Amino acid sequence: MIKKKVAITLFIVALLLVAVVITNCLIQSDEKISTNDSQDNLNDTGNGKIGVVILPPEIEDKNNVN
Amino acid sequence: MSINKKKIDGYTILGYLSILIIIVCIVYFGLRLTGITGNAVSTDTAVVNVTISTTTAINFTTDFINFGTGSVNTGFTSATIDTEGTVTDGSWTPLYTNFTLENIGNTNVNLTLKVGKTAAQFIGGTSPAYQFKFSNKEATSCTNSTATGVWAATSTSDISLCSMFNSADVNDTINIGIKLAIPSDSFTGTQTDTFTATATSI
Repeated sequence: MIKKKVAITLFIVALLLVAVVITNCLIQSDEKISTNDSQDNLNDTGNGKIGVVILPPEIEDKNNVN
Repeated sequence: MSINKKKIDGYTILGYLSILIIIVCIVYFGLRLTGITGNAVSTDTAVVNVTISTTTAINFTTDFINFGTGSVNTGFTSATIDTEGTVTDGSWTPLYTNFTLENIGNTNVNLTLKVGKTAAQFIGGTSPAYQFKFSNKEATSCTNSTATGVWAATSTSDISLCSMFNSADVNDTINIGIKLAIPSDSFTGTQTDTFTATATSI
């Protein structure tokens, strides 16, 4: 024969232990593969350069004569 | 008297049941602590965590077009030079080169293009022309907004070049050619301008 207080105490302890076991099982099985897709750079610019040297026609003519 | 006896029996059952549960829980933790599972095959899981950042990046792998020195031939109102080796009515040395632009990021982008100066600001004179033409250096690099292989006027405002500029390594490079019409009354001396390509992640 188990007394009322002892039985209730045992029951509460049992409930607490069951809660701990369930929590433990959930932690073990709830590992997920996580991916993060962060947006670091959304814009970028690039530069190119154009160069031309334009001589006056008459200077070119002189060069051709010489 | 019989009611009181039933209550006592109920608590007794509850007590024994609780003891049983406690024993099962203790055994469970005992097995976990010692690593004994009772199973022939043991499995475990590991976590793979990877963070992939989106990077938008473009690069002019050929970033300088130098037409060199020349002049409009005497008696002609203008000369035309381009990056396909054309020199008409001028004394420049034929040039065979292009801007080469590569998507070096890991995401497809929208690509726009603009220049720093208008034809009048860059070359000067009467009816100058400042045009560009682009083509895929690697096939299907650019889902084009502007027609490929056609000379088009440059602009100091953004021109949509590619609605999608691919990031795949084998399809991520385009060529941009330049054509100038230089009038006989143009500016003289060294003239330079800057091409600016802007990539926006899509």
